[in-house]
Amino acid sequence: MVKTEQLSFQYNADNRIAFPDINCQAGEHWLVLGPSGCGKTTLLHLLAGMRIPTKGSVHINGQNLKSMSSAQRDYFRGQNIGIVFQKPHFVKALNVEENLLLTQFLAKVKQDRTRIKNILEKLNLGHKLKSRPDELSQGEQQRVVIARALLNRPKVILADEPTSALDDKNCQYVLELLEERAKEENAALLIVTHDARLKQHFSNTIQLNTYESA
Amino acid sequence: MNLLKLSWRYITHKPLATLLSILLLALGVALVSILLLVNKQVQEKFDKSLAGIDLVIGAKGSPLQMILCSMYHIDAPTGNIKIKNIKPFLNPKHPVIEKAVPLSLGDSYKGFRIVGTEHSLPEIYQVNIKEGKLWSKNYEAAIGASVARILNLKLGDTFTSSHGFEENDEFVHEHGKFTVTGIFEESGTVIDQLLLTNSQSIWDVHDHDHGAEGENHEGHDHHDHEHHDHEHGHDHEHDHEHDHHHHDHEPEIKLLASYEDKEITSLLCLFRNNNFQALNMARSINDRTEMQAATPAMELNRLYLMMGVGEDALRYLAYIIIFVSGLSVFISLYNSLKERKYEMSLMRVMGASPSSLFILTILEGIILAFIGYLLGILLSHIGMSMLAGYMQEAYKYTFNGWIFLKEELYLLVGALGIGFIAAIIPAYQAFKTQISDTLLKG
Repeated sequence: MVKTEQLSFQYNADNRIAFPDINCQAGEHWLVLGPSGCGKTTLLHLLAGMRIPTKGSVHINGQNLKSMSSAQRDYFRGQNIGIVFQKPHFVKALNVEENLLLTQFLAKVKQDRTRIKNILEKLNLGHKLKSRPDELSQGEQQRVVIARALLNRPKVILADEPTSALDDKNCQYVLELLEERAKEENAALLIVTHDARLKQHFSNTIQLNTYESA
Repeated sequence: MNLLKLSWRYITHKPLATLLSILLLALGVALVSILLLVNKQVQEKFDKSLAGIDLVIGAKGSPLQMILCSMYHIDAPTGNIKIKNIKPFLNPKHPVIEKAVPLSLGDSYKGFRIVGTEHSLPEIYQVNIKEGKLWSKNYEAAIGASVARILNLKLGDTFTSSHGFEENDEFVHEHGKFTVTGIFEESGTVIDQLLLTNSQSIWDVHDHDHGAEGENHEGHDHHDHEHHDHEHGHDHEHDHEHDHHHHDHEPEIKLLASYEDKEITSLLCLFRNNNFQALNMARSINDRTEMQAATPAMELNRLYLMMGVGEDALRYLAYIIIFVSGLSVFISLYNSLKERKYEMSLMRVMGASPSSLFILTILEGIILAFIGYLLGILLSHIGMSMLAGYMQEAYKYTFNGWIFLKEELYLLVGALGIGFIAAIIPAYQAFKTQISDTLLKG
């Protein structure tokens, strides 16, 4: 489902990051572990097609992201990849339901209020449908972000430090949620983190080291 | 959810920030629009009441005042002229003047002016009687459509005139009740707001009244202060030099010319040809008599020119306000764009194309402009109907605040254009939103 080969990215002449190959099948859960500054977020952006690798290739669901135009990539991402960012960003002018409707609209997926209600209820957020994002607690915000990542039934879920800001209890809760929902949708889950607490949960782990200079 | 809804949410999310832009634009639009409305309606009224009148002859004074008084019934008369002085102009065989319509002004009923004149007045305005008939003897009156409507006058109703143009119970002429014999059709001309009767009735009222009136009526337009015999219409008093009028089919002109010592306020003249001779005639009236002659078209142009200066100043002010409103839309969009940087790249991540972010921002500018435009048009029409109420009160002119002009559509295009231009730079910034750079920092 997510497959990389010889992936490397170069910000400038003397700053090049090379990544180990990843081969994550549908339904599998992977953890990419590494210290801060090792290029974890860069890897996530490469996997999501938000950056183009300097060398090597990313295949999602069998399709090479590099061979697409940027508009095709945007569309492909909206349809196939759910992303949980480190910080929960929302469109502040919209309430929770509208934020999720926007997600469906932008991915050109049918706007489905029932689906939104269901998914929020599963995340214990059914009563927050009409709340504004900044009225939610941080934990609630994080759960809405997960709901948003799952909403369009993506084939791949990419999560960037989803737990680093949470205490142990919430960390456990969010992790279980992610795994449970990913399983339910049979999506590949790939979590990028420096949070060692997660290590014990995953059988598939990739360790990133401090970036190699070219 | 769609782009339109999203941009609407953005606008309503910060109502205070957008209020200023909207209000500024509304003010500018309202100012331009009300100038258009007033201009259009005033010019239309004025032009309609031109009625092909080539020359107005009256007592010396301000020619503009005479025109405003005699044709538009706004200003006070400049004075009176003696019939013996205008006798030649009343001659239907006059080489230059095809038609001459006498006006006797100075009285009113409930603020509407009573005009002593002849049947030729409604004729030159091409206004027909809708109900009843024109007057045929003294103290009969045909009234304009607005007068009938506003004062609820019907055929057969009677009224008494009062001296001067303001509604004033103190100066009611006791003598002489007028009877409404006809009501004119609605025409949009000045006839709508007048009560027409013959000149003789006006003189008669004043002759009978004269003794009763006090001395505090100075400045009012007294038609006939000399005490002479009150009997009119005695044909044997006619000068024989006017006998050639007798065969004419219009008995009133014949009658009028015979009241040599009577006075009227002014004479509206229509020329046979607007030639050199006509021009000379006007000049010689001004040079050689105690009367003045003025051309309505020229005086109106002078008036428009004078009003035009103030109007231009207001219009430029409006343009400046609109420009500032555009600037304010620009600044508010530009500022909110900074705050929305994350949201914009988030939307890009979720599949939004650069062009949809461009459209989103443009829509915001255009929606603001549209709201400002609607508010402005509403304001201007409310203003216009208030003005119409005032004009009705002061001058008996009926204007309509809820007439819409096609120029207002041009104004819409202009307003939307301002919104578009103000949004174009912020929209381009939104268009350039990179996905990961901003999120990477966040």
